[in-house]
Amino acid sequence: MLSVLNSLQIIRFEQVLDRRELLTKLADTALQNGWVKEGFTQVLLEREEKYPTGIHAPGSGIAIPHADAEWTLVPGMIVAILQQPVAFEPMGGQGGEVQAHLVFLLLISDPDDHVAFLSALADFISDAEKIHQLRQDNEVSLLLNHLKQAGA
Amino acid sequence: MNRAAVILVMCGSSIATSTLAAVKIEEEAKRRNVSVVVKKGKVADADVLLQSTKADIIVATAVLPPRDDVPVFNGVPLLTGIGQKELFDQIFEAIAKIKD
Repeated sequence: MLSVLNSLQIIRFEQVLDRRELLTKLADTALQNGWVKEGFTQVLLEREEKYPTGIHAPGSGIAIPHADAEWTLVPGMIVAILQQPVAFEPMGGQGGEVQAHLVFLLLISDPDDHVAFLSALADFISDAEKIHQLRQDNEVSLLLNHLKQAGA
Repeated sequence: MNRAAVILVMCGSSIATSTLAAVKIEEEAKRRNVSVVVKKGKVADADVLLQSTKADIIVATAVLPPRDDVPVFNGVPLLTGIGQKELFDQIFEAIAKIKD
């Protein structure tokens, strides 16, 4: 089983982007990395419109876009740290528009293989202090250490 | 009730958020000493899944219209921790009311 942690990338964006532009950039990066199948970008965009992934997390607005498992070739995660927040619709439809400062593109091939990772990620996004720290330092190691400590 | 309550957890793709929500509900059920069976799926398959799992309640992290047949809860608090305790109280209160 491949760990998500082996394929972890953080990208910082300074420019103003809308949701489609951001998701396209992240999906194209995943494609260039060889982590997803051809056609993933379109699927991701469509899925986000149908099932939005914006979350009003304690420390910041975030989003966790993802597509069905069949599109993932290599389990991984691409994290976007946004200087200019990007608007996402709220998951579950409640709480109004989410101004996301952090976006976690999840590439999961089999959810049962990655329960520990997903739990560790949930702990991370529930922790306002860690979210702030990641936004400031944009250090892969911070995120990686947390996820590892949490048993991912 | 003499059997385990069946909880159907659903999200858009049945990958990330339903997996998380399922784990948290199982952990909480253990803490409360309540026996539950948690099933996962996609909201698009709600009708079929309800029939096949005979679920007593639904927890969804994607928008699902309220239903007459089973109570539906918004599972997003399980991802952020915000309002999680209240949600658990509501879920387990609903379970306590289930008749055989």
